[in-house]
Amino acid sequence: MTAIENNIDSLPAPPLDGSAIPIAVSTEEYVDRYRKFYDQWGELLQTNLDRLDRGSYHLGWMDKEGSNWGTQVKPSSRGLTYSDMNRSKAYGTIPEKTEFRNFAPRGSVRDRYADQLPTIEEYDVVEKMHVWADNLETLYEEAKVRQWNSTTDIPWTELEPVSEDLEMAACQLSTFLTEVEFVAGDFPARWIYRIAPDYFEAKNFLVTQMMDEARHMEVFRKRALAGGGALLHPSPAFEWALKAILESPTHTQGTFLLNVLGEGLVLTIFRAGEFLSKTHVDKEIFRLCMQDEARHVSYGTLELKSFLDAAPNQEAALADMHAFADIGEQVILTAITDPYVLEPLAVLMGDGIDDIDDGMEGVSFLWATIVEEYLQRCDRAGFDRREKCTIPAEFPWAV
Amino acid sequence: MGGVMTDEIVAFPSIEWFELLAQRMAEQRDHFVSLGSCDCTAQVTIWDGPGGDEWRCQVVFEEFGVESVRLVSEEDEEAADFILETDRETWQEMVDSIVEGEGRPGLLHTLNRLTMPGTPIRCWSHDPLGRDAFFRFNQTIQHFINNSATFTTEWSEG
Ligand SMILES: [Fe+2]
Ligand SMILES: [Fe+2]
Repeated sequence: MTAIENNIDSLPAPPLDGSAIPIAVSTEEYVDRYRKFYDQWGELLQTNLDRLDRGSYHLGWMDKEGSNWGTQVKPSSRGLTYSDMNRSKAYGTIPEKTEFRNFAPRGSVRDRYADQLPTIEEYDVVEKMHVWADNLETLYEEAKVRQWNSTTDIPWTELEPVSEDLEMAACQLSTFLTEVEFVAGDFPARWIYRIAPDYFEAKNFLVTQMMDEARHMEVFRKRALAGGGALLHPSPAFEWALKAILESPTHTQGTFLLNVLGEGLVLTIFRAGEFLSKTHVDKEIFRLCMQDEARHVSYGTLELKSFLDAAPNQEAALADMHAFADIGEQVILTAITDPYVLEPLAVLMGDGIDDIDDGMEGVSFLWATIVEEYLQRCDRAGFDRREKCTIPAEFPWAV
Repeated sequence: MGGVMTDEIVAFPSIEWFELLAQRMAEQRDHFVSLGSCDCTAQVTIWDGPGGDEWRCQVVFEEFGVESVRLVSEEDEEAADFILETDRETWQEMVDSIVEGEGRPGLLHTLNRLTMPGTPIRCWSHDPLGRDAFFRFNQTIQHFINNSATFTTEWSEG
């Protein structure tokens, strides 16, 4: 036996912990679990210790057998992108289903280690159709180079509220958008760690979406305060929609509800926000957010298409998606009929509370745009909701 | 934006007008790099172009610049990600506003403001993903047009 001890048995037991801190598992359970796995990792440890003790080298990592050594990966004019890398069969073959629920990189010499590699139980999204979109690589590159900074890219010093009612409307809209941006970041967060690393392009893109949403949350929180106003009222109706998005049964369903319907709607609100802006500060905020949001919507559209194209039982997949969309549209309807969202938009549209009636006509136009663009994106994904859509095509406002 | 007024005079609508904006984009590469790459084909359609006919050109944006500006016909429309169509007067009003703001349009004359209600500029596409490209690259396209403040536009009669 070596001087370096393989000494798991001599480790002290963890103290019992009765506190209420958020935990994934108790320390006791964790320690117990890793003791149970000891047969597997303890054997590797022992082999390594013995080798070190003998003073011998392994050099197995220099064995090129089964590797893609020598595969030419050439940068394009804009540098070395994933699209450039994936042009080679060796690195660009995306498995329809992966057996690798661990961290071994796609394209590495990993087959021979399959029995020794651990399984990450949480990596349970193991099929391409649930995460892939044909524009993923493009959108990932675009997201990286089109980042902006809400601290320095917005001309904050130019912000001068026009009147109290318009500023209140801007603050209420900002409060609502701050709420929305939380879920748009948390939904991908809920799935990223479940996606098997073979689909790293999807994981990476979703990380950019999270960064975008963090920035949106940040910029709308700042906007609410920067004009001397305040964060105003959260919207219980909208929060039910956010909850429904967050708790979607599958990644594709949630991506449909968040990216296609929800963010399609938010994209229109951003466009309207730019249209309605009374200051260059607001123009800049909405225009920059609009760009990010359109990436998320584009991903959602082709992710839904990827799922519907590849589903083994297309009829069942469509029926399931329609059943999900029936309820999903209703919770989104609950959200977009909410006065805490519609009325500030109408005040901005009408140029003040006195002309809120005129503003509602503008909201009516927005409504029709949101529904029509949603249906067009569904069509593009091969998901025909035209006869089934449960959101009225016209704004249900009695005048 | 760092564009300074020059003594160049270019007619609108013309290929030369958009090529001059492309040249400005190349001159301000650092600024456009800071906005991020832009890859899309934008078509501009002017209903009352020279001779009173519809005038169409496509500006092909690639990475941080313009790859080409080309005169096209109706049959080429599907090559465009999105189409911005309107009359000359709307362009004149927009450019006047940009010139007055020294490279920044007034609140009522940004591209998004003018296209959002579908009038006075209609932004449309054969493919919703193509129309989304107009939103994805909006800041770059706005700054591209903002360089119209760096020269004099001659508004020829139709
Ligand atoms: Fe967002
Ligand atoms: Fe988003």
